[in-house]
Amino acid sequence: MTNRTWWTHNASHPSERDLLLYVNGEGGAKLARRVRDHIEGCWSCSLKRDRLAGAIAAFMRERETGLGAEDVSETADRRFQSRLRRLAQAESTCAASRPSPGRHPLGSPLQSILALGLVVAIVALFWLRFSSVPSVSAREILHRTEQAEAGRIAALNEPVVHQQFRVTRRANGQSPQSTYLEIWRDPKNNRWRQETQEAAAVAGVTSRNLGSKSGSRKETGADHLLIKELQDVLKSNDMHQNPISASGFAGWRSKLKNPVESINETLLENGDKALTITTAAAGPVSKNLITKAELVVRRQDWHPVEQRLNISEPDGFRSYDIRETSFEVVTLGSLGASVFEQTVLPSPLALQTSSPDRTLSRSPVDALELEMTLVHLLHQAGACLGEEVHIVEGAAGKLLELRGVVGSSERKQELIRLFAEFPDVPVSLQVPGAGDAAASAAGAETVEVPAAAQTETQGDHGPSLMRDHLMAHFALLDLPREAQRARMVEFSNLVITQSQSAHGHAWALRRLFERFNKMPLEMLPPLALARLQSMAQDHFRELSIQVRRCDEMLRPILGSLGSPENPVGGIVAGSAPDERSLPSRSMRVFESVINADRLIHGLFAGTDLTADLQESSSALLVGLTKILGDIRVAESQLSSLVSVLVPQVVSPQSVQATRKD
Amino acid sequence: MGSGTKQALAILLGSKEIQQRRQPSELEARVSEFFVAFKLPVYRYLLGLLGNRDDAEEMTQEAFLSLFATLQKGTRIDNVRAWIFRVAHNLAMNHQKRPRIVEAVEEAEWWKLSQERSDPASDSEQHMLREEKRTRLLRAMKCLSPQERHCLDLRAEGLCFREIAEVLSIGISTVETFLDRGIRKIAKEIND
Repeated sequence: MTNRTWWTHNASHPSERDLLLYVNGEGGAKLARRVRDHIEGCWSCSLKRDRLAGAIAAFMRERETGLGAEDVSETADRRFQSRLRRLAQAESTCAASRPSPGRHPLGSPLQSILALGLVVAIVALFWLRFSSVPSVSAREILHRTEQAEAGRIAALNEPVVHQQFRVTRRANGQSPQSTYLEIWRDPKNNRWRQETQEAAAVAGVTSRNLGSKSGSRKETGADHLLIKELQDVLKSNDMHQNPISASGFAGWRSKLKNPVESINETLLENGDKALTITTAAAGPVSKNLITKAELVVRRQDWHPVEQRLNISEPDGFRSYDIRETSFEVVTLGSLGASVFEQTVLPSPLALQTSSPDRTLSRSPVDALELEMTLVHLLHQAGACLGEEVHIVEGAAGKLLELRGVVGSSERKQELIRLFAEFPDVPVSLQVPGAGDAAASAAGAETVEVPAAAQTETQGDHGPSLMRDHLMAHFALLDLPREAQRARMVEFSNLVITQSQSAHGHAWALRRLFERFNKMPLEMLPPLALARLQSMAQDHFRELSIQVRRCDEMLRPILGSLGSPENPVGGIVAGSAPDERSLPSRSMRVFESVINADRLIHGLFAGTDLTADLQESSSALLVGLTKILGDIRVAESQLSSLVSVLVPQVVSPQSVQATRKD
Repeated sequence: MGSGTKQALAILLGSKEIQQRRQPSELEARVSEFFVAFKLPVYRYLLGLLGNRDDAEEMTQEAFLSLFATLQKGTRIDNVRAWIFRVAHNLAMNHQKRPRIVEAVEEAEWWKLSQERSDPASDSEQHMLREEKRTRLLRAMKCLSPQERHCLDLRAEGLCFREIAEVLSIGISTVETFLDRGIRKIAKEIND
């Protein structure tokens, strides 16, 4: 006997379930009659029924109040009818082209087999596509990795990052060559030291793991050359000085046009899970530039542990496998203040050369001034804003040379004319895809990247986070809906354009100061310092303009979502005057601009699928204010430095007007 | 009620469905009739799920266009109303998996919607009582599981237990359980 019928035979009460069915009109007429009959004589069950009905009524009232009696709008009705008509017309067209019922839909058995094969191939392709990890973008992985590193550094007062790497070089026709590299980084004061194995032992620096190996392996000239070669590669590709760096990888990746990219889940040697970003250039790449790079990030703590670089070579291949063997963040005190005093080589290229011919031909001061003059020339030509041309260490006995890739033959001729005043500085520029005569003749200057069986992830942008919020904002305008939408799109594009412009100046600023990350600016000769000031001021000024415009446009719209307390341009806590050096502060400006650019793209272009609207808005407004504060302080630092060190005869104005001394 | 709507309801209630592939123009007329008959409950259900009128309208249209495409293939549909709700429900669930600004209608959203539509003419004492009751009801609605909430919403739009089971792809007894729990949660809050 079922529960439903038991109470009727035993003159007992209906079950809760039967009451529920009854008030919902379910359970059939028989059940309804029995429950009704029972309730008429049972106050207890009557009360239960009323409570259930009361709850349903309350729910319905609240729901009706919330939803109202609003119907689908007439516009939506018309739009639906129009869509339905189009669909029906399309179906009519398809129906006309369908095979007649009596005929085999695929024709002969051979055609059936071919069709089956095609289906299997498509399924296999889909399987390959989705066997990777599509739910996370490379941009997001890199962002998380950068954030994780920043968090580790921020956790300590006076942090020093100590890392050890094993670097393996492979080249066509040569046996693999390996060496160890040990670095110390002081991110707050922008100080850096690196040692190869033997040098570290001689210097007596606290080496935590490497020291134990030093007895079995000594540094050789080949080791030194390998590291030097790797650093040249990193520098040529605008990667960070650190051999494994998420920001360096992100910077290189962001400059590629239509890269082919995939993300795969892999296992490290110790069994830890990792994500590997593989990015390859989509077209021909100039000599000594990276054709493909892989960054392996440990999932557990978003720490980059390995980087593999494939370099374009005229007659084969060359690759570097950089594997981190040790990582720790320690306090400066635990290492001793002298750890960074060992640094003797200034960073500017002019003083890095090992060729006696070069150093004898010019004094270091002359060399530095020449380098800064050339860099300044590129700056005046606008080549510092993302163009792949650089002043690098020269070959064949030359101190410096201009090397890189430009977009057109006209641009190449323009730069050649500009550098014609410096006959000692060779110019080696290429125009990709333009049939560069020298490159074509030798067949050596560009390397075709093979079509990789990887997944294209360009265009993986999601819907804009700001869309609804912007639509609500522009709906306040007394304009037709289409015009409002057009304004919204125009606004979004303008914000993104300004952010990209700021992004370019931030990178230029970073590259400029990275030339001096091992050398105090006070050591620069006056003219070089004046040129540096001129260039830095240009970038700071442009950055200020773009950031302020962004701030003025965004604050009225984002303010309601997450309004920081600081007014426009105010000094926030993070940008209060402190003891940062000028390069360090410039690096912070760079990081803040990159972060703001990421937030803007996340909000307006939908590039960050995990972003939160309120958090991003708030972080963006605070970040923009911080950038403006930092720029003001940096400009002030720069002016003070120059006013003390540069004689009045070398004013920034004279630097602007002078191309060659 | 127009003849087209009557025809649509007759198809629904009699479970006589289109099995033969029909001409697109004929189907277009049929689907238009279904749209007129069911668009409002489907739209209201989606609005309750998504909290966004534009999205609800868009997905309502998508559901009916899917109906056209499915019928065009000659697929048999026994209960068009349940089928439409099922498609609409799945579209909404997929939409909610995507990043979005507007969350599904939560307590705050209900509160805002209700406030916009509350009667401004009532006196303050009634207003306070109503607000108190509404606060408790909203608290109860917040405690509802998504499945309980879906069952209640579908029931509110007039679907029977069998249809709700079909829409949510669950058993009828499970629907009974969810509705029982949901109603009791609300009853407990407003009666305690």
